[in-house]
Amino acid sequence: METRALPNPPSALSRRLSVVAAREHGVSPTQLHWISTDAEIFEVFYREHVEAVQSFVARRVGDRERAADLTAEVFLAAIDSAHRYRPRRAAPRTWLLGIARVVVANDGRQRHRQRVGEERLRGSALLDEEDAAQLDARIDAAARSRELYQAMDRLPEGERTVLELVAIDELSLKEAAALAGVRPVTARVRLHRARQKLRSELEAAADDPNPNKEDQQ
Amino acid sequence: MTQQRLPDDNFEERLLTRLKAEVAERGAAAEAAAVSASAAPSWRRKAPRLAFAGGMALAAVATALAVNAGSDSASKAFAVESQDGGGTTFKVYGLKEAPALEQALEDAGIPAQVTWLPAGMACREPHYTPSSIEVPGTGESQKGMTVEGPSSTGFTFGVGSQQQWRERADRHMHGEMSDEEFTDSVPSLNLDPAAFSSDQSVVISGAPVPFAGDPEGGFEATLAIAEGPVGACNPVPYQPSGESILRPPPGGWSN
Repeated sequence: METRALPNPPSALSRRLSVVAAREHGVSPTQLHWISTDAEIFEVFYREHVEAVQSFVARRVGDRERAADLTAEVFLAAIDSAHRYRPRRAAPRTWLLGIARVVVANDGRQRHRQRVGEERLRGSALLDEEDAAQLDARIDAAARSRELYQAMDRLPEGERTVLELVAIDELSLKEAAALAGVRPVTARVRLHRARQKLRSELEAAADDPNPNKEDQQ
Repeated sequence: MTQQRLPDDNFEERLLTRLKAEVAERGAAAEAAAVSASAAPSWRRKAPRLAFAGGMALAAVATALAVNAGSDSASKAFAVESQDGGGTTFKVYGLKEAPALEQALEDAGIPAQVTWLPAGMACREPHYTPSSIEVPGTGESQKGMTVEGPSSTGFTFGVGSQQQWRERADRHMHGEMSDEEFTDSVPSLNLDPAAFSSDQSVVISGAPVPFAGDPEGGFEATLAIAEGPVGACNPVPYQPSGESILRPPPGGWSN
């Protein structure tokens, strides 16, 4: 009996099964590259993470339309870069929030220039009044986080990143370390230092009678 | 920009709709590019091939085109192998030994009708009542059949517990098993005897098809789950497509 070797291509059915499996278990690391070309797998991925992305953005941006635009851009960027995802480096959620960090950071730098994503999809154009109210509520609920976020501005970048991911985004230390690109032990040290500095910062802010705490970017 | 408005529409759903359109566009473009690149599909010439009809996850019928490249395989119609951890794998290279395969399936707990037909023939349908089978991952009841494929040798399917399949799927889901390892180690299709109701059975029929210049170099088979009595297979002329329903994924077969 002799049969020649197969390259083992995934069949149409295999892909279909990946969709149904993803619906039950979530999009696995090994499936993630399909979010850029398979609308059904993308939908599973989107539903799994859209709330986390919206919350992540709302904790950093106090403007409803910007938050909507950035949410759309985060997912577009994920679609763009899914082929570069490496399962061993980060879980899908961590990877996506890493993209969100970059998108939000770039937005701050590019606000006065036309964003690439605007030509493809402006999230704010999809908002209606009811959405606006819900987004405002999400943004209001994140006001305290944005205060913290702003208070971190004076921390060194490395310490700020780890603290931000752990204290605001509630990532584990391991996830934060992966996202920041440092070893967990390094992240732990940075987190400890950042907390000490921030505590002093917030205590000083509490004595300020006219704090300008809301995001004015 | 004009928005589609639905009664329960909201920002998240509208954004999803737009993003899915973007993904679908990319998927279509990538698939077109891959199909174009494989205008002379070398993967068909190189290897024995198995394909199940897309979208059969909830359907009862799967069609497989299995192409045997070597003549030796024709001398052995199928092989039965024990799976690690229990269960049985059937590797089917042809259906010439239909009665023996039928018996082997029944020994494994799966009532079956297996029919090998002359080239160009198929069973006159309907000769049974198709039964709906659901696969794991639907979030609904899970019984009867699970499918993963294709395998590296012919038309492979397993008879074993759903639990065993799910344990492997979970390992795959959690990245502990690569796509390649998963598709290699998990039968193309898994039948769990415990999930079959007393009136359900498997109906397999197939016939040779031309391949690589050999008029009977491959075979095309249909596998279905039947409910209730299964009638005799009465052969009628049938023109096989000769085309595998396998299509390259966007970007080609390899990762």
